[in-house]
Amino acid sequence: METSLARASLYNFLAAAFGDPPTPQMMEAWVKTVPGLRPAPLDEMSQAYTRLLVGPGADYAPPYASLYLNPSSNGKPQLWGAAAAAVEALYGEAGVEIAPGQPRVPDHLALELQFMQHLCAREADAEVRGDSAQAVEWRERQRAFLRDHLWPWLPQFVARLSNTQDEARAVYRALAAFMLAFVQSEVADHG
Amino acid sequence: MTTTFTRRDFLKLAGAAGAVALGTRFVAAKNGRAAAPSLASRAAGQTAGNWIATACNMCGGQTGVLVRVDEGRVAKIEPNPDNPIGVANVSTDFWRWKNTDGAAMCPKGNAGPMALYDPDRVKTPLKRTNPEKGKGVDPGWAAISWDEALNTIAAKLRDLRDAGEAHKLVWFSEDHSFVDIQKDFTELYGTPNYHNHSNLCDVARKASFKLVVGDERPLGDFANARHILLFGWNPLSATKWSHLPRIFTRAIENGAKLVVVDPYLSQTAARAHEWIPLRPATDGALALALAHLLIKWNLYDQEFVNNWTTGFDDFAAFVADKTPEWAEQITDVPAATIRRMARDMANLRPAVVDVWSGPGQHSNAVQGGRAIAILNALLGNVDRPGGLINPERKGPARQKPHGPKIAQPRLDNLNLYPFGHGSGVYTEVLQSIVDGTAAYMPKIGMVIFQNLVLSVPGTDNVIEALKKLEFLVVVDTMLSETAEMADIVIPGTTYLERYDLTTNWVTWTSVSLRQPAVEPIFGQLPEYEFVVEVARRMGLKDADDKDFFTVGRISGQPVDSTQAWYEEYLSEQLLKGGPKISLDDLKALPGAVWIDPKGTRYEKFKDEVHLPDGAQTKTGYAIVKSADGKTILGFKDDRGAAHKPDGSALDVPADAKMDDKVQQIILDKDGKLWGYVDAKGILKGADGSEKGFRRDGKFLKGWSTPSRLIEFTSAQAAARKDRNGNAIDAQPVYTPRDWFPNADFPLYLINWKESSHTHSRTFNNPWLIELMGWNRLAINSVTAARLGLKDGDEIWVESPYGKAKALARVTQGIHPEVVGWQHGFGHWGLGHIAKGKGTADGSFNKTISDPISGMALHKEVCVKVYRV
Repeated sequence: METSLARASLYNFLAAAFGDPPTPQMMEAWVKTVPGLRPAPLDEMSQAYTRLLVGPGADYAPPYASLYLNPSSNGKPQLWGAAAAAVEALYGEAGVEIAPGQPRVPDHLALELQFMQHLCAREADAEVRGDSAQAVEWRERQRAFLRDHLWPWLPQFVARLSNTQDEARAVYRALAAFMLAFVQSEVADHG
Repeated sequence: MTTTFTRRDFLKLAGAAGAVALGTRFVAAKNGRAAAPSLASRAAGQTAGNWIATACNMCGGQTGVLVRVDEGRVAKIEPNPDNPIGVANVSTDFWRWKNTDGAAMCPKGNAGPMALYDPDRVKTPLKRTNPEKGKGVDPGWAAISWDEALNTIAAKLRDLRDAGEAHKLVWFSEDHSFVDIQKDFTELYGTPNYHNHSNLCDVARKASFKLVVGDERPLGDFANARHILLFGWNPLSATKWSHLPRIFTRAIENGAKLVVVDPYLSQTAARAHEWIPLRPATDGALALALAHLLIKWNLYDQEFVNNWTTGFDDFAAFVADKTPEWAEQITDVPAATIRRMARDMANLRPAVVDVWSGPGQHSNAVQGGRAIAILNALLGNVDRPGGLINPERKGPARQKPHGPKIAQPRLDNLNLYPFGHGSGVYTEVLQSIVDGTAAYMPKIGMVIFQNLVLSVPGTDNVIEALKKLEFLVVVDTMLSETAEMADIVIPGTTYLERYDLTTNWVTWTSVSLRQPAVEPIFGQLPEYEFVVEVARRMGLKDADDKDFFTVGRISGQPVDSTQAWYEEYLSEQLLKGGPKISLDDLKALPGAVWIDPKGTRYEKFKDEVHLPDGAQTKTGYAIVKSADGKTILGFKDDRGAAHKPDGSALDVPADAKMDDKVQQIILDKDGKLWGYVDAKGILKGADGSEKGFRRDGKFLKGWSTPSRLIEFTSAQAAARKDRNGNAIDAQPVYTPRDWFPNADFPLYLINWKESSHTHSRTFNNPWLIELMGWNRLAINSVTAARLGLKDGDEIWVESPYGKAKALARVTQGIHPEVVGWQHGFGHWGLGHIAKGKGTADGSFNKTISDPISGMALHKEVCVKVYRV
């Protein structure tokens, strides 16, 4: 149970890092969590976040799965490709939906990471209740989601994000490398 | 940094990562859909697709569309045959063709999903971190929360208002979308400086037609015409209603002749029987020569002219010397051609003549437009089948809120433009900020769904004006060149994510609903909810200190959700307007459109105006007016006793004006003032509004002009001065425009629009850019040869105000003295697709408007062209 809770915690941490503008509290947690991460001034971090993850612009690394997995659903890159509909269906099957007023594009990296947190938390919950059959079921959902949805585009996204130089962006490079390594270890662990 | 972690490391690090909570991104699924028990149930989770009826807004045409939504995603857009916009503009055609032909839509409509799902969209509120502003200066955007954005904006607006400077808020908006709520906000806030897009588009046309036939936007019944003459309009392609190409096609199938007057071989001219190239802004002179011939040859409709018009004799005398030879000198159209044109239009009846923004964006546009409008009167073809129809419109009714009295003048001096438009004068407000000649300097700017920098003439001036504002908010779906000047950018919605009511563009009343096909995809507030939310955070109330933005407009009860509040607001407009149904009722109608079953009515000018039952007609009475003559205070009876309009005693103010020349006073059966007949026989209501005129013992509706007749000669124009203090001629004179080619700048530069794009806003749409990806400069082949230019050459285009590179397109399809291109290209912002494609036309212009209507002058410019 500790393991699934710890994993849930890491996914939650990563969802915030790639889905919300940086705050002093978040940066404090980054320094504690990601070895070797050196913080930059907050205003530079805010701009780096916007440039890299909100766009538009030359440095924009759009954090949406379908832009990598279905780059030309309509002949041109666009949001909400087939991958987005697929993950939204999975969210519903797992008992959650995107909260009202929140960004709704389903295959945003932060949502996919947050969804993994949910699945890990449900696994922990089943373990606490001693329902090992359910725990296995939730773990199976994690395995499928990692294999079919999160992992297939993550290296491309991280590569695009990492093609940057300055200090503020180095923080996001470090976060991205950390995320990639973690998710990779997750994939390996799920076999 | 190379990171090598073991699995154990990650799990240890998790302790530092913080608590585990579901976060705000997800909630437990509603509709009782708990976690599916197994993965096998997944197939059952597929949701069936759905068609949603709504109205397009890729341009202002508002064509009816059906949107296919599959699993929460817009998959495809098709035309909506239940909506007249996209089928026909006359009701009998609509009811037939919706079943036989269905509806049509244009390339922009088909490309709607690409706008919705554009990865370059603004996704979250952005705050500027670089205080320096200018073209190409990186704003240093930082994403901020909605709370921070809304609270910052509300605080800035509250502070300005509390300091007694509400008038220093200047507001610019689109003209078809969520206009009413913005007007309400500015009126309640207390600024006179609300403007919208129309004065960049067609307000010269509006003034011309209003002066002649009493309607700002008559629409041609082209399908039923046998001869169609168009001046500077490209209805088969340019931004607008997608039923237009069908209407013209049907007319031609029925044997109509189509003649297009334009310096440029537009898509419409290319499909016409005849293209008449002419010098820009000389259309009015050509129209005067045609009028001259119709009168001289006695080919005009004498019955119509005698019965339904005024000022013909003076007009006929005025055009007596406007010969084809006179016009040839001005227009470069051969006199023989003009003679043939006149004969054709007289012989092929019904004949209709129309004009749009080709000649409409020059300094002599209003009088030229009048000359063109008058041709319809000579042909006896206004509000008649196959002619120019004055539409009947009883759409949603805006309920004007009670705002504070505003003492300060408008910055754009709209009152000095004698036939200006409620949309204001963009050029004057912006130029006066740059010059420092403004009556006062505005401090806060609000720009919603407008790209002023690329769409107002004189790009550099617009940038300078925006720089002088202390705080600028821009709401847009894209980081436009105007958004780049903002202090805060708010993400806007596409038309697929929001509501609107739309009622224009056909000849009878139809009200169609734009409704969200999907929720705003970034969780953003639609523009109207943004306005409501800002007002709420400011605590903005009406002048009676009553809540406005928090209380339901029908229920009078507090409404928490801004969406629910706005839905009730729209419902009120529908219930109090023509449809008299609720928003939910409208949603349930086929195609989400309410259609007045009365349909198109012709010859509405012959409608009789009936007095109320039991009306008493009095003579020897007088009307009592306020000192300025504008307000009717009451009436005086034949014994000298004064009464208020409700019949009670009136204490007549010392400075009141007594109008004892009125022919009759009309009281209702209870003795209350219903109206009166003025000295000229015009029937007016108790508030002084014109209702009709007396003829043969009856009151007829006539036309919405001061004389209630079509006005060849305009007394109301002659009674006014233009913005520059110059007299306006009662006749539709041809006046040379202000700016002509000379030795330094020897070529006219014009611009136009085509079906591939709207204004300056669709240029990051990959499908549309594929359709038209560059605006090469069209140069006549003879001119190109003289200048030593070949097709595809890189060239400089230079005016006294701007210089930029372009690519040459050598063609026979443009007048030899003219060069031109499609408007809207040349972005340095907007998105990665738009950036760097083509040339922006606005930078070559002066920031000026026509002095009669306030229409921005996009085409009054001359340039030189030479090889790079």
